[in-house]
Amino acid sequence: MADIYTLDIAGQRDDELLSRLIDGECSTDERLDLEVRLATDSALRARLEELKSNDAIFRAVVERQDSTVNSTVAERVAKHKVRVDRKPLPAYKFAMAATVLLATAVVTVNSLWKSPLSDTPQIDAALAQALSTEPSSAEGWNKLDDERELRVVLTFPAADGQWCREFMLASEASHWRGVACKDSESWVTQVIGREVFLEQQGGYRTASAETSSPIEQFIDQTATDIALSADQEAALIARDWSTTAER
Amino acid sequence: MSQLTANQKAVLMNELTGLKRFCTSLTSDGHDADDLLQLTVERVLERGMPEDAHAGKWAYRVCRNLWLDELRAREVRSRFAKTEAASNSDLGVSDAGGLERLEFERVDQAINTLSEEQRTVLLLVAVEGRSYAEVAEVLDIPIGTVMSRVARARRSLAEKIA
Repeated sequence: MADIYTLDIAGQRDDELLSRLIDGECSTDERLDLEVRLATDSALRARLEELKSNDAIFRAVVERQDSTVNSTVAERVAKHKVRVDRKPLPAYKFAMAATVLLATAVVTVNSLWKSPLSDTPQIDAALAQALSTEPSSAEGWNKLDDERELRVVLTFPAADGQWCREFMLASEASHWRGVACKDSESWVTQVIGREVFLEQQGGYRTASAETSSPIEQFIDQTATDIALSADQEAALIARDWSTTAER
Repeated sequence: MSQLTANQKAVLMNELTGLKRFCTSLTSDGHDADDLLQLTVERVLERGMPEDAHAGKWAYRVCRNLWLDELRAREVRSRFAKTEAASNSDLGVSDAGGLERLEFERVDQAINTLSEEQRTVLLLVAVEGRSYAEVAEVLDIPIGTVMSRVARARRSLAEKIA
């Protein structure tokens, strides 16, 4: 009787371990121990396969159940009017955090915000095209031409119904951070300032904490909602920016 | 707090199908599952949630709490009027044919003999792909309980299906 009880406890313990292995919840040590045992213990292997197979059956049964969501419920959620917050935009916060971290690496950063500057970059055809088609990204650069590289940082809706994009523009001579908004036909620069980026392998990284402040202020005053998700942005680009931003 | 953020609304929209399965798992009844889902959505939209709350986890918790309330209410009702008829066979299951249908029904019955607690954790982990920590948060139980409950559910299922 004692032997049976002991065996049962051992079986339960193994089932619990196998269960956690299936769910990816084992610690590294537990997983390594189990892998060693599984390599030599055919009964344990068979049990693992049985539990996995039962999971598959369970999933199949659940998937055959009616999981249709009543259209009234879906519509109720779809029509829900969302809360509009004037909080820092998530992607922008990420950019700001990187900026602050890297600021320590720069000994001197002059006050570079002098808007308008005589050499302020204009939105030419190449830049406009890139603003219309490139997805936002937290890293990497897109080559505009032989001299310039662009990174679109985020896309957000503005209070006047326009869509706006924050971008970084790098050339050998100077580096800029700005926001451009799309009117009916073209991209128009709203705010732009020179910024220092650290050159590094694979491109540039922004190095100044000070220069981003006017951009942050502009977005805070202008944005009516959080930045678009990657999917929302991709859909907007696919529609050629034809949808007016929600307010 | 009465409105969701755009992100919370998008997450909730994406979670509706999983929530429906969760409702079905809790109620073991297709019609009850529809009602519970509707109640859950209404509650979430009317009362909102904290700005930093994850809409998926929040909605699952609301759903579970509403179901517990309903169970308590049913218990009270049954004490005064013992007329409640048990008709728990309808899971809203789509039709299947021949031997396949018989096998499906056999497995389906085996699953229905799991306790609601076991069925629910197994659904959240094995079907919805939730981590033990997430399930613990949704069901408001310790993570160790999730761990043992999932293992017991698999063990029970193995005994019943074999």
